[in-house]
Amino acid sequence: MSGAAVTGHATRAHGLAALAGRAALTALLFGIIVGPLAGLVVWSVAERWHWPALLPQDIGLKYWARITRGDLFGALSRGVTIAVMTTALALVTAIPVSYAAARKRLPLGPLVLMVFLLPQAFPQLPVFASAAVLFYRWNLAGTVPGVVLIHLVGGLVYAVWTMTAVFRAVGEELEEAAINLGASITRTFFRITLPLATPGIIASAILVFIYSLDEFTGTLLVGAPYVTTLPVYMYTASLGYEMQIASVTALVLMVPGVLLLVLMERYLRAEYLAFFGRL
Amino acid sequence: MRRTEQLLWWMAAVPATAAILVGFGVPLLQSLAASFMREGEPTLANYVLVYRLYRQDVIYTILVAAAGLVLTFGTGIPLAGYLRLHHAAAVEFLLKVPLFVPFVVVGHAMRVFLAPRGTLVSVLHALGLTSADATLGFGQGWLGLAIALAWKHLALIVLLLMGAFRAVDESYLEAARGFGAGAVRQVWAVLVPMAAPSIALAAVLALTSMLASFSIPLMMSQGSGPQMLMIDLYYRYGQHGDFGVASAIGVVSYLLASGAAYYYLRAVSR
Amino acid sequence: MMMSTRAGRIARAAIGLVAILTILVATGPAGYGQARVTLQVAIAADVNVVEVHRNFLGAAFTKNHPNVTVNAVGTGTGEAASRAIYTKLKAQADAGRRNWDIDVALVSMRYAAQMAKEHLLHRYVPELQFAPYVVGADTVRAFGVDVKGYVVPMFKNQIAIAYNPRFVAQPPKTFADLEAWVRANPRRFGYNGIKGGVSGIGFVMAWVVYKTGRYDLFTHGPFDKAHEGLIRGAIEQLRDFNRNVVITSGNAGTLDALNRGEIWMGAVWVDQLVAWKNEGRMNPEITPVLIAPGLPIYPLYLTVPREAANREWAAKYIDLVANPQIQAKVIVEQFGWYPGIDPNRVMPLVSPAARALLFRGVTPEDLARYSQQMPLGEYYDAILLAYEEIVR
Repeated sequence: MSGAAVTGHATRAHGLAALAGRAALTALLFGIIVGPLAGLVVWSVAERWHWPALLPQDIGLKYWARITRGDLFGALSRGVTIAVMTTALALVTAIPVSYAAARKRLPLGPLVLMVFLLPQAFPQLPVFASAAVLFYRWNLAGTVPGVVLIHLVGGLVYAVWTMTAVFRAVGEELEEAAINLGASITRTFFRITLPLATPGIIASAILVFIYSLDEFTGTLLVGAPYVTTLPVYMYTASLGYEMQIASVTALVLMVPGVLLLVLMERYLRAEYLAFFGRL
Repeated sequence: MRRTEQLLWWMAAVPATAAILVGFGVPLLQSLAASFMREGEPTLANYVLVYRLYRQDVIYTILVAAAGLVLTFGTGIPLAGYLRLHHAAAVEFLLKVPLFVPFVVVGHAMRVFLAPRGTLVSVLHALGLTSADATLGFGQGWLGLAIALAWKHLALIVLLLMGAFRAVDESYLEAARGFGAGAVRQVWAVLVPMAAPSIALAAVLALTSMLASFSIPLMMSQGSGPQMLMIDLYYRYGQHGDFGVASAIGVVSYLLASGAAYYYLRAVSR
Repeated sequence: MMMSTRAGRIARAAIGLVAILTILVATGPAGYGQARVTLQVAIAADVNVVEVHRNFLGAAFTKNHPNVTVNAVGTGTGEAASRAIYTKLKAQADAGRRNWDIDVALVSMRYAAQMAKEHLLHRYVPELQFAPYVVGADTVRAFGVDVKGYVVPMFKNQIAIAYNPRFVAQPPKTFADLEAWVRANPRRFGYNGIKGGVSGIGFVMAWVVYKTGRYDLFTHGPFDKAHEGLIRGAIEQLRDFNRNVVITSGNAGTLDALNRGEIWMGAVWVDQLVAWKNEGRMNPEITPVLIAPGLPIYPLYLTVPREAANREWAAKYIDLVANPQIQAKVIVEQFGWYPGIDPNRVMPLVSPAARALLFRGVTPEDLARYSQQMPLGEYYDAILLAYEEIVR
């Protein structure tokens, strides 16, 4: 464990006041965070809801049943497939870059890292619109590889930056020891560095996966209408004031994220992200 | 042998960089060029049109993004500070939720939540805080947009801030406490200054993200009045196929984003 | 290289997964059923139109021709949806490809005109069995472009003013009536401006015609930049009109607001109004009317791209859609649209009940008197630009 990081340590909260304060904060935060999402839940079961009623007049699962027909299921499976491909490609291509950057063996290292930040730091829509023009010319528009490529462009930064931080957190001493004992760089990497970095790699995989699943702008410009993912489908439904369909789709869209949030909570340690900003 | 291995590792770094250059760099340059072309001729006509039609929207975009930034950091810094000083698993968990809610879902959820007779109004009415025919006025305007943007960015910002705050050694805080500093002073006098580079980076990321936000305004925008720049761009490109003017709007947004990035680089290189 | 570590196994699995997925994707769409034909139908219209093709027209066609599967894909809503189809076809044309991947394209009038102008369409109408029934000024010229032989309207969409009889005792008969009503009832009339959908655009076009009285000039030309002053004058008055008006977020936005009682009158698509009523999303009392001097009618055109892979089957499919029986039973009765082909051939086949529902509020006489053509492309663009600059 490197010296500068401090694992979160509970400071003693004295007395009822602190406890009440925490409870109040949690309740308030619950309202702020969950409130907007609760509206989706209500709409998803509202079979009939006319103003001025405060709650739906008829409640049922009619619109949830529509998941099994129509484009919704297709959009979901397409989105998940694309996300898996994007994540795999991102990890495989990012590991060499991140490792080299972490070990300061990358020429123009900080500059290269900034290049990966560009798609997130720069406005995406104009660039993706321009990319769509190019993709149409290269016959990539409206295809799954085209969408994967556009997801990769935006998602690589999560893989590269997180894994650079992760590899930096894995101290060089062990590697140096191995190399001094005669191991090659590659062997050292796979047998020593990678196992230690696995939790962080899983963290970056989560970030890329979520990014790709959620991705809307690039998919809208490059993929739609021929390759639609769930976000694009939800947008169309919401635009058409099909509130129930849009809300069902929105909740379905959140499921992978929530599942991952619950399962992988322990991997999103703030320490890994602490190295952001330390170029 | 060692040299070959190193060379292979460097070459393995090429695909990732190539993907960015081809998927982002080339389109970026193309849009720059296209902003100065109209019907094959170099011209400034696109920018003239942008000035004529969209100059108020530039101001509006900056204001909305600034408001969103204030809201995010105004809630994010105290929350991250609280979490640094106390252990509150439920709060930490709740704060991670927006990270996993896609941008479009946030847009749609906020649209429903902040609608004139939306969920928020219903809840307030159920709690007896408003009258029966109360309507929410700000849901579709700049404030509603800022709230939605702030909500979405809160998770990542708090995560980044927490990481930076946790990297601050406990001894500094103990020293501050020794001088009688309460929680608030510990946050503002110790944590924030020491985490300044991370805060600056987080602010730049959040600001550029909000300036360039598209999905949330797309879901929440009303039909008239000022719009966020990306909505104008989408209208120009999607409805009219006017790549020239769309690119010109894009260049304006690049300049706005660069302005923020420039300040970050200045802050960090100190 | 020792890859027996856990990390090594993970790495191998990842690479294997990527390889499998890549192979699946690469071979997925292609390589099936060379003997069968898949007709690619791209539809630039709402979900309900896509479902018509999928569930009714496509199914009927496959029943007659079992070796043909109809794959109907929606490309979104509004003009952007038609634009998506146009962009794809143009890209394939520019790249010199043969066998384009869209066989039938249902697009808006504007983009059909654009595609015809750029020679992206196949002249298929003469091949049709029902070619004689394809009549009307809008099958000859669209936005000033010659489209004869390239298009068959699937149905026609009329823009109308819908009102809520509970709040509006006397619906307006003219634009002047509407102006007066809006002044007396601020923020009770809504339309979606020019960005959310063509119902709002149509309203703006009709407004310009109303204020300038120059219908013939704008619809038949000639285009002269000098007339922009006329347009600007009309749009400036529209800006003042808008002060008492709710601008909604789209076609559906106007309908939603009407349904909720937030507005009492709005500019809507007649077909969308009927569809919403059928789905239970709209108060059944909301009634459409046409007001003088008129409101535009806007057809959705069936077109066949020039190098479509299955041109002959595409023409046969469109023949099915143009069949008066289909037009009567599906287009008119089931979905409440105005027929795309000669109404004299279709309406006798429609049941009296359906006819009553279709013409409730907007009679055939109203259509004959108040249904307008859209202006020439150049005037259309000029009006939109003026709106964007003056009204915002």
